[in-house]
Amino acid sequence: MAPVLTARDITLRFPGAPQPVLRDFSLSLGAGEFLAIVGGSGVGKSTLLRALAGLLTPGGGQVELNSPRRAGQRRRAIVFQDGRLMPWRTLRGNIEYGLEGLKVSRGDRDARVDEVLELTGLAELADRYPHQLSGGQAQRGGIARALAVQPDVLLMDEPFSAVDALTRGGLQDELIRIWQASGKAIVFVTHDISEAAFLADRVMVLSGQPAGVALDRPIGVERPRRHDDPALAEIGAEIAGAL
Amino acid sequence: MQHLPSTRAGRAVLGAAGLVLFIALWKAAQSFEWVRQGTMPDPFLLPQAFLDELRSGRLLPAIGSSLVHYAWGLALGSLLGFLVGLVVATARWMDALHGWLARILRPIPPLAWVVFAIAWFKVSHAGAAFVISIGVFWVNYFATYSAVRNVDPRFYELAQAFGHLRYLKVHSSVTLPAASPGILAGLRTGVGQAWMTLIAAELLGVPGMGQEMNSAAGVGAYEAVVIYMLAISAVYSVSDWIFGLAEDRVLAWRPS
Repeated sequence: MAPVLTARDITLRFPGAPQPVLRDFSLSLGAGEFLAIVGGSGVGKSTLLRALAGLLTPGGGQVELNSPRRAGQRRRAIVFQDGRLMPWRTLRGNIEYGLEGLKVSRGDRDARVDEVLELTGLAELADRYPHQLSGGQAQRGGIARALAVQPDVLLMDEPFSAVDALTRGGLQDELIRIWQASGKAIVFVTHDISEAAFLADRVMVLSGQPAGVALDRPIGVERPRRHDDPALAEIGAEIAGAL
Repeated sequence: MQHLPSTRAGRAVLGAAGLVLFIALWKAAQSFEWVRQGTMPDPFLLPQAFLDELRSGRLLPAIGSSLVHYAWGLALGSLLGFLVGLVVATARWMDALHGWLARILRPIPPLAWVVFAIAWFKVSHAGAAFVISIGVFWVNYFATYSAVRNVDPRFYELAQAFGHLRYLKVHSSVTLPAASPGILAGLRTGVGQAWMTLIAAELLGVPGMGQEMNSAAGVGAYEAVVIYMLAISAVYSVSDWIFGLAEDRVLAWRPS
């Protein structure tokens, strides 16, 4: 697989801290690949995701997007932990937000919003305001907004950590369906080991101080997967050991 | 009696009772001369005083004149207060540039400016509007400034993540809508504040309700003074009600 995103020797520092929190992180993300990055709290995984998203400049190293630029598209898009819909816009307005900076005609914009609303199962809720949505619906809205800009890479920052366990299972299944339908590469940051093992093609574990990659392995379990597959539990134990 | 205040009709009954009680106390104060004789208006003479003021052709022109001051002072003060508050809250160098100046000017009460209002504008509509606009300016300036400063920074990160980096786009898509509840609360406070300053400014001689009150008090017509006070209250209530309707429309996205 040709890489769509590469990171070389990324070093991250928190302001004022003498030691870096993460050192010499490198990554090559294949087109359409689903990568999970697992780490405990304070290991800098959210900060790493922001560096990959171009929202902050790392203390050292480089992030590169390898896919060609196309008109009307952003090459990467982020899904935040809290969904982060703007409360003053309807769901449709929130999804349009990412398209407002792109050269997209009014008709195309509507069509693309309709398409991602359909894909995320939110078509009926398009005209609702965020306070009229459940936590899971808001989170799917955040995913729809990211998909609308037709990125090659979807960066997800613990997107399901704020919803209840039942909703989380449903969202995980749905994410797999959306991922398979859209063909995007995904970097999925989480602290949840079984979530990482269930979702990803490959898992990277961040651990240590400063943190480095303690484990980088493919999952290699056939899809569709079952949450209670013993092979996944075995991989989960290996991840836990590396943490 | 315990469940009375919880029903709509019950609240109306209690509200009316409160009014009647107040008028009874007022009448007693007047009849038993709790203050110097002739200085307490008789509540029972108010309807007559109202008709007198109306027929004399003083009441409506006075209201009209006051509304002119009010509208100009309110519009000018609100617009400038909002714009300055917005600019200093979003541009760091502007914030530093104006910081000391604002700290010096802020404590000066609007009415202290009356001296200059008279010197510059004589006794005119412009002078009254000027004084009003100063009070309204500060209310809107602080409301806008603090509302903008309190915008959740996560929405700025969101704007950045989706490629919105230009000043105008960032602030029109994030700052203004996110700060709008606070900005509108400031505007609404200004609507009330303008009335307070208005009457005081007019007491100094500009034609309007304040001036009519002053001249009525000069000849001991205290009932007429009360009529103007009630007229102020009525006009304020109407303007606040209209503002409330507009606010509900603009902020329809908020959970109710």
